[in-house]
Amino acid sequence: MTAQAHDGSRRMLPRWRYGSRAELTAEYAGPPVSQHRTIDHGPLNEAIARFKRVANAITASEAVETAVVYGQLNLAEDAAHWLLNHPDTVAKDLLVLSQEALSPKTFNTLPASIDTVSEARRIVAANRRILRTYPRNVGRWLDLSRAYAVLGLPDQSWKSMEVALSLAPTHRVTQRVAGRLLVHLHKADEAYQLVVRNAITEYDPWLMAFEIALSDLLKQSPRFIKQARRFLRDSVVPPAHVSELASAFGTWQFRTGDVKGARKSFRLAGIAPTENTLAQLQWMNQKDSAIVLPKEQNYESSFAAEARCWRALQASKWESALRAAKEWQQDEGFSGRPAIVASYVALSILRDYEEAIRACKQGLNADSGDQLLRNNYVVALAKSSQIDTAIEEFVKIQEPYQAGYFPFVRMATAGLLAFGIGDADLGTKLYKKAAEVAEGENRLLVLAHQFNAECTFLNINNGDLEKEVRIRLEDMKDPIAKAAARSALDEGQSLIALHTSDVTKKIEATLKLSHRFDHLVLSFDKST
Amino acid sequence: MQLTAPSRRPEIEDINDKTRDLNYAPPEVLYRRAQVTLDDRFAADLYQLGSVAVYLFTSTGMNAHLCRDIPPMHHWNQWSGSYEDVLPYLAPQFESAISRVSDAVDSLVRDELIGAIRQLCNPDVNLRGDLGHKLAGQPRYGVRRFVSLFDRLATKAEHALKIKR
Repeated sequence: MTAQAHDGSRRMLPRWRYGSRAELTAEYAGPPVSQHRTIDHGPLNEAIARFKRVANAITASEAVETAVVYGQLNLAEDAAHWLLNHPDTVAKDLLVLSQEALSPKTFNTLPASIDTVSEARRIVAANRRILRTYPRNVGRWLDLSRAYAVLGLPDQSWKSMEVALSLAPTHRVTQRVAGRLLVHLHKADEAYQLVVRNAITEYDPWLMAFEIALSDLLKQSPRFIKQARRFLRDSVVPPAHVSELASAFGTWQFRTGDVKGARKSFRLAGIAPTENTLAQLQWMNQKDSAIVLPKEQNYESSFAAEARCWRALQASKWESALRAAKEWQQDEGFSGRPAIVASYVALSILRDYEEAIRACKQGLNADSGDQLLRNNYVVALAKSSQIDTAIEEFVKIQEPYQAGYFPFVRMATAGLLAFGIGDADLGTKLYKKAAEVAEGENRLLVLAHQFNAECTFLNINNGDLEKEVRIRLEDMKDPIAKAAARSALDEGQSLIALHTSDVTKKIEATLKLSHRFDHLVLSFDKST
Repeated sequence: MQLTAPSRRPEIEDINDKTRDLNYAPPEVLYRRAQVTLDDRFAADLYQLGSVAVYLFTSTGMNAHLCRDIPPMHHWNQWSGSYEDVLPYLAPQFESAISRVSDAVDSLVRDELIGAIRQLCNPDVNLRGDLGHKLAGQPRYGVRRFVSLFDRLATKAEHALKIKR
């Protein structure tokens, strides 16, 4: 048996959230500019001065309205108070506006807990209705597309996305989320074509970042790498605009062996990071601890669940990691990645099989083609003694296998199922084969899982195997693999103990019964 | 057919022009979209007509509705991109504005009036005006249809009021 925590790579693919939930980073602002234009606030000042001279419903309304139009609500607080104190003099809507002027606004936050599937159904129903009246609302088409993706309806999702693309064909956000959907639909090459065809890509840091990430995914050289390098070197735009580009560029540098250059790029990326950049930096920090991580406060954002998850995994805080992975899964309900991590931590480290099955089911509902996730699901089912269902699910994993779904994982899972149906020879053979093809620490992981599977299904305590793994356990560097191996051994041991105590209990119960029987026979003899 | 303004060159409206009341200026002017054609001017006039109608029912013009819930980065005083690029972010504000006006209007005239305001105040200049009119060969930015509609709605309301009395 073995599950997998991730596919071994992370790229700077854009985030895709509902419009009302998007983290309003510089991506959603206009093109990067070094400074904003100056606005004459004369008319606003005049309106406020008029209100101060003569306070009445007309001057107060005018001051509040002008302040709203100029985006300077704080300047009209007195006028708003005046209107709220004289509610009979003005229209109801103006009173609501005045209340809004006095309370600070928060834009786009993530809800603490929500059923993503029910929510997606609600969004589909509402948007289909409203789009009849407002058919050119790009945001609603994007939300509709995302909701369909969460519901695991790829065709409908892409159709909605096509409408959004036709309405805003060169818009940065539309392009990026359309590309993200194509990647989700395993059409990264089409996403790449979409991005490189856009005339603004060679000037836009966000699209350039996506092009680099897609090139990495497609294992080809990025077309705009020179432009990206020049942009990062010469540009005077605010750091928030270059965060994802620097991160994508740094990842590419790291992959091509320029570790020093990568560290420099990551430092630039961390100045004003998006949560996506934060997650990337945290991920890369596992590979190179010299990569500087951004300030602690960045992790506090509700959007930063993925970054928190990687950080907790790195620090071996498994409960925190599972909590963050669940938040991440709620945030990216259409993706299989968070489900893989959540199910792995629940399954291989915390041994919470119910939680693992829940995470897998939710993930597979949205992304049924994710083989890694299905593999984790198979293992969780097998460990929950649902061997028949596990085999049914395992049969669904067919060639071609996705990148990152390693052969040793597949073989070990097959071995687990063989043990599950009682074929010890086949199980041992498959695990042996898996251990042969697994590299480095993964070999130990396979052996630990073999020990666990033998304990679980055959009630065999393979002491030699356990000894071999325990001796080398402390040398394991990857904290996740180490914890999973240890957990597999410990669980195996406790299962054996349980079996033993079960046997002891059975013997005791039999003795008790026989004693009672003896007693009964004795009393019967006496009475006769 | 598109008519070209006499100057024949793209013109960025000066939003700092002291004679201009930004509370009623169309959003494309706030976001500095070039006013090139005569159609652009007509479209701006239609918006202002619609904005007056919105004011009569909610005590604030359409601009206050468009600006009240918009994230600061999309507000015209911060936006650095093109008008076409900000339009997707104005769409939800426009929907909310129409919904608010709808709540403030009597059901007797609601459907027709809201339909007209939706046509008059659409932030997307290409969708402003009566598209059906255009298909019928009439000038798309013609005000005549709206004037007669408002007349009819006023008569309808007066009549209803008389019956009520």
